[in-house]
Parts: sequence; structure tokens; C-alpha cells
Amino acid sequence: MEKEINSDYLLWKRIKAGETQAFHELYIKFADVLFSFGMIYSRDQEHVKDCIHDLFFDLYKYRKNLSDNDHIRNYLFKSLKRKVQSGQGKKLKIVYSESLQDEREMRGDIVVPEGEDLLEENIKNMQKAIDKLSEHQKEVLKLRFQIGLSYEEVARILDISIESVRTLIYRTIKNLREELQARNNKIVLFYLQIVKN
Amino acid sequence: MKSETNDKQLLEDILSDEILSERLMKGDLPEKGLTKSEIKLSNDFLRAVNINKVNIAPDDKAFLADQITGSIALAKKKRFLAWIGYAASLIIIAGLSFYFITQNQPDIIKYAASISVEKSSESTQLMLPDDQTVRIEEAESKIAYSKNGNTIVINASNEINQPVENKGIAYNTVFVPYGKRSQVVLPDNSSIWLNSGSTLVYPVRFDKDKREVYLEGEALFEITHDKDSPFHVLTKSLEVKVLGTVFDLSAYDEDSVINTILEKGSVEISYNKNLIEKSYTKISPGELASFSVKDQLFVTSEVNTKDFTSWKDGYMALEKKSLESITRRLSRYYNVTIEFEDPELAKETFSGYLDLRSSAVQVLGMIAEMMDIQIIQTGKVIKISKKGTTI
Repeated sequence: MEKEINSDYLLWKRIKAGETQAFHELYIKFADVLFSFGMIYSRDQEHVKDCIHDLFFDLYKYRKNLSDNDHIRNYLFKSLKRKVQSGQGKKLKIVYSESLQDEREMRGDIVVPEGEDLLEENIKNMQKAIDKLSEHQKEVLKLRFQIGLSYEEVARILDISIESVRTLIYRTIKNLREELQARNNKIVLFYLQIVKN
Repeated sequence: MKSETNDKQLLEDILSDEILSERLMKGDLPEKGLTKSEIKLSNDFLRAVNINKVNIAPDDKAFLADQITGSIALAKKKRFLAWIGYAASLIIIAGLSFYFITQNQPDIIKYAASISVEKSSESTQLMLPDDQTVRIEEAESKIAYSKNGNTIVINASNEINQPVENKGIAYNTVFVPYGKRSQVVLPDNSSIWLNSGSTLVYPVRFDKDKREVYLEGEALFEITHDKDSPFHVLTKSLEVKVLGTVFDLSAYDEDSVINTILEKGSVEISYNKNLIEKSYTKISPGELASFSVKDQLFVTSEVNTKDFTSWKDGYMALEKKSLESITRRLSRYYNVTIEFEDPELAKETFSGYLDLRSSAVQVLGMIAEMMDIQIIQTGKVIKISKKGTTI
């Protein structure tokens, strides 16, 4: 971890010096995670790619204004989120599984791509339950469990305290679990009804 | 499924534990503390959350990398070009004396550094080896050497003789102050037009296998062809090697860009990357090579060479040049100070021909007629302001 911070710091210094190679290295290091992160806030891959381009280009343009203390990861995530959201014009919705799931539902059960049907029932249910969560809850789950950001990083991105992040995650998963249980209970009740009849 | 015992950890307990959930995400399972069903439920959750994670395709990633690198490179180049835009007219280089390592210097550079030129003088000066200085008062002068270098004819009338001995190399120096120009015809019949504020050092007689001169400032070279004896122009930070050609080189000490503009032939430009290595660049006719002294970087672009060389024939051909760049050239050419009342005016552009045989005020007056500006002269200072403003 210490080493990581150190190498980031050195990279940051080279970025500030405007070294083209340093921008490339920074991009290679963060492209994957930034893209997945950006896609939390958009459905449009091209838009997210454009934003990543602008993110790095702005970093080049304004590198002289950067302070030595800027944490490279925080800077990248925060700026990218702002860019992705502001570029979309309208208030953004965090799409959980909409695009994929809509498609899936439209296709019905007849044409199911290979592999999809292997998706276990309980995971599908879990996904549906996640979909019912609020936008804010979905965002925090994705930041933490999809992108793998630390509580501290999530806190900075959401502009809330680390304690709030912990509470938010705890409550969200609790809601989710309860929702799943309610669902399962319904299924059990329904099953019982069928048996009765 | 329905019932939860008290000691069983709930999903939210497991996953809100930052360290524990970190391990689960990494697939690094804790040996104790969690039951199989707890681990399975947690993993199901992680799978469910990750199912719609969108990853960047490797091709897209590589393509985007190129786009970013390309944009940055372009911005660097643009910044450099924009900066040349205004420096070009000034044409030249800043005090880089520290780039200059005395021991590696060719003799001619050492010689140039050793002589003292009276730069505040308003006359063109020809300095001969025996501390003899010939002053020339005309704004346009011509200094022509005979084949053996013994005879120098100034302005086709005044003749000077200097003994050229075979021992060692003797140098002559011409200094042209701001506001004046001079044409030097060397013993090999090459012509060099020196623009205002320039110094040229050259041997009285060239070596058999090498012709070498030293320049500070701007000059247009029309070099006679001699494949056995390449012609070298040295400046503080660049060297231009030519066989036979017409080109303009501007390397003023106060400017940070050295421009080489090739009209005909071919030239090879080099600079010392370090003590041992040299870096070379070749340009074709119609090209401008701008060398940023600070960045040690060449940018080559296609230009209308007349924009850069027409001063020799007494006019200035301009195509969308900013007033700032034009006035810098004019102030050097006429040795006057030109100021803008409104800095925004300096960015306005102008295209056209300016007749440099007119006075500075007349030339600026021609520009003023076509643009919304007015000119006011007070002594050696000319002020440019928006039409209608009172100063």
C-alpha cells in the first residue's frame, strides 16, 4: 500500500511536469476501473470513453494547477463522475441492470443466450431485489462491490463521511436481504397454496 | 431459510465489514467465522452486483489510449506553434549561453564570443582581423569580396584591401543594427542578406573542404553549390548544413525559437543533444523548421516562404499574421518601439504586402487603413489604438 502511494506520487510529479509517457502510464493503470466506474453513471459507452479522454486531456491542460497533495485516485474518480453526469444533460439515473434485463425480458424465455440460463435462480432474484433499491443505494453498492473502492474512496466520491458510507451499506444490504426474504416467503406461500388446492 | 438463529451472521453484517468483504471480493475466504451458507449467500450477492459491470473492450482501451496520447501531443505541438506564431516574426533564440560548452565549440564560435561588437551603434560595421572597423551609414549596404578575399567592395564604390595570409584562419565580422540591412557576397560568390540586428562571422577565405559561418540574428542565404565543400551555418544552438540552396535562418539571441525556412535545395539542421550526440532534421523546399531552444524540439510545417524571405527584397508578404508578430518584425526592421494601447489589438490578424521602403509610420498606416486602428508617433515610439480612441 505504501509502495502504491509512493509510485502514484512519483507518477503525479511526472504528470505535473507534462511528460507524455506519464499520462500513458496513468491511463493504462486506471483505464479499466475508470471505465467500469463511469458506466455506473451512464448507459452510453461512447460517452464514458469521451469523458475519460477529456479527463486525461484536462489533466494535461490544467496540470500546473494541481496541488502536490491531490490524491491521484480521488481526483480521477471525482472528476470523471462529474464529467459523465454533466455531459448527459438530464438528471441521471443509475441503471442497475435495466439495459441487460430489459433486453432479456423482451426476448422472453425463448431465445436465451448461452450462459444466461445457467444463472442461478437465486442470483436472478438477488438482481431483481437490487433493482428495487433507491438510486443512491445502488450507487453505493456498485462503488463498493463492483468497482471495489474503499470506504474512504466511496466517502469522497459521495461527499459523505466514512461512517455514513458504512451505515449506508449496512442498511442497503439489510433492505436487500429483507426484500429477498419477503420474496421467498411469497414463493413459499404461493407453493403452499398450490399444494392446498 | 426463513429462520435466522442469533449467532448466524446476517448478510449485512458480513458485507458491511470492510476487511471481511474485501477478502470475499478477492476470493480469499476466511477459514473460520463464516458458515458455508453465509459464504455462499455473500458470493451470490457479489455475483449479482457484478453481473452488469461493464468492462472496457481491449481494442477500445488501446484506441482510447492512442486518442489521449494524440490529443496531448497535438496540444503540445499547438502550444509550441502558437508560440512560434508570435515568435516567428521576431524569429529566434534566447540567451542560451549555458547550452554552450566552451571546449566543444568550433573555432569560429570561440572567435565570435571573443570579439566585442558595439551593438548600440547605429551604423553597420565591418570588422577586420587587425581591429580595423569600417562603418557604413546607409540603411541598405552591400559588402562584396573578391575571389581570393583580398578585396572588399562596399556599396560598389568603396574598396578596401586586406592581406590574406595562408597561416591560420582570419575572420571578418559584419554587424547590422536594428533599422538596417546588409548583403554580404562571400569569396565563393554565395550571398547572405543580413536582416536588422544581426551579426555574421566568416573566414576571409574558406577551407577547401568546408565553408563555415556563424550567425546571430536573421539572414537569408543564397549558397553556391559545391558538393566537395558543404556550407555550414552555425548558431549558438543549431547548425545548418547545406550543399547549395536558398534559405532563411533566424536565430536572434533574444528569441526562443530558431526558424529555418528553405526556399530551394536541401538543408540538414542539427543540434547537440548532449556532448556526444547530435540530432538531425532535414527539410524540403517550402518548409519551415522551428526549433524550440528550451524544449530542444523541432516542429516542421509547410509555409509560404515569401512570408519569411521577402524582407530581402524590401517588402513583407503577410498571410493572416497577428499584429503582434508584424509589429515585432517592423520594430526590429525600423528600430522603433511599437506599443498597443489595447492588448486585444495585438491578436488581430492582417494579410497583405507591406512596402518596407516606406517609413515605419507609413507601413503601419497602410495596415491602419485596412483595419480599425489608428497610429500615433511620438519620437521613436509608435502607439497603436482602436480607431476613435483618444490617447
